[in-house]
Amino acid sequence: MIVGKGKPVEEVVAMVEGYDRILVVGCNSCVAVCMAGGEKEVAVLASALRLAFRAKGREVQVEEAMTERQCEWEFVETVREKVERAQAVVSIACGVGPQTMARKFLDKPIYPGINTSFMGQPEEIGVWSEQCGGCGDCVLDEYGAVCPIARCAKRMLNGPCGGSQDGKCEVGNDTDCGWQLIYDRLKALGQLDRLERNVGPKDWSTDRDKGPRKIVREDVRV
Amino acid sequence: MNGKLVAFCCERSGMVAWQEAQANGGLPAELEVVAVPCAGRIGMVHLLKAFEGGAAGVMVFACIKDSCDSLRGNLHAEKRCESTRAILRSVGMEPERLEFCSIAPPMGAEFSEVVRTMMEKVSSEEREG
Repeated sequence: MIVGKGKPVEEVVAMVEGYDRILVVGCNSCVAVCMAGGEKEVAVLASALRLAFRAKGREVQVEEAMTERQCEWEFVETVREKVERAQAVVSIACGVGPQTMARKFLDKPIYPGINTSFMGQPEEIGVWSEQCGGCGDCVLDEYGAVCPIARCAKRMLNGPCGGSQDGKCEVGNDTDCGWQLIYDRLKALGQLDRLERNVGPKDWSTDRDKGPRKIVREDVRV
Repeated sequence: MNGKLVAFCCERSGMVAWQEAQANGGLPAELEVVAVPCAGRIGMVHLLKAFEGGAAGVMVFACIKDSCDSLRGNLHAEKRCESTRAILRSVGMEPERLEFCSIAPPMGAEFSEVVRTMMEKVSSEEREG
């Protein structure tokens, strides 16, 4: 899922300081699961905004709305009425949501309420870890389904660097060494021989390095 | 004191303590009690809504550590109080207006004391403010 974390309330208050009618819109997909942009978080942020403005002596109208997936035109359309009533919108979907809203509602200022961080996985309650770098040319088959792009700080493709100590990465934060994970996994699978070949430089043209990407599937276009 | 006090009470601990405190008398008329099946049911939004609804102070009475019938409801409630206090601070309100209290069913006197302390705190902040 796409993982994000709510921006500090003060930051959101500063974004919408000058408006009298604000709409907070969440998304029922990834950010709801990672507890950053679901219905509860919409209600909390909306309530916090009302209290913040009241403390400043202003009664600001803050409405709440949810979209099933804020990255799709059809679902964004479902909140049109509330968007039109508002002077400004705070979206707490991932970074795709506010941009979809902005492209749909051309005359409406849209502000982000969360910091979108990565594509990851819930490790346990309250802990998420990055798992995929979206490089556009998946190499998981070669590394026992442990991604060296997302899980190695240096994106090493031919083994660990000298900063791997006791299974941990030198960047700290209790980060596992991605290459320790790759080694352990391939060993368990009996596929350590995969590590004996040298991997050439990766073609990064499918990654962000070639600019914003687009996928066109002619087979599904009519 | 302007506004009411709201006490969210776990049915298994806070509510029983409130009943005892009530029987002993001395609780302020401004106190509104909200019973919940477990303190873990109380979300940040309920606490913030209480302030939005005019509460001058909000208290959460949950079971004491290791005594929650739902295992960790009291721990969740305490964490949510901490997070809500952070929000209160960031919106320009005094975080002390929200209090978390671990309480056992027969602790009616402690219940009254927490309410009395909150009332004093809120009143003194209003005098200073």
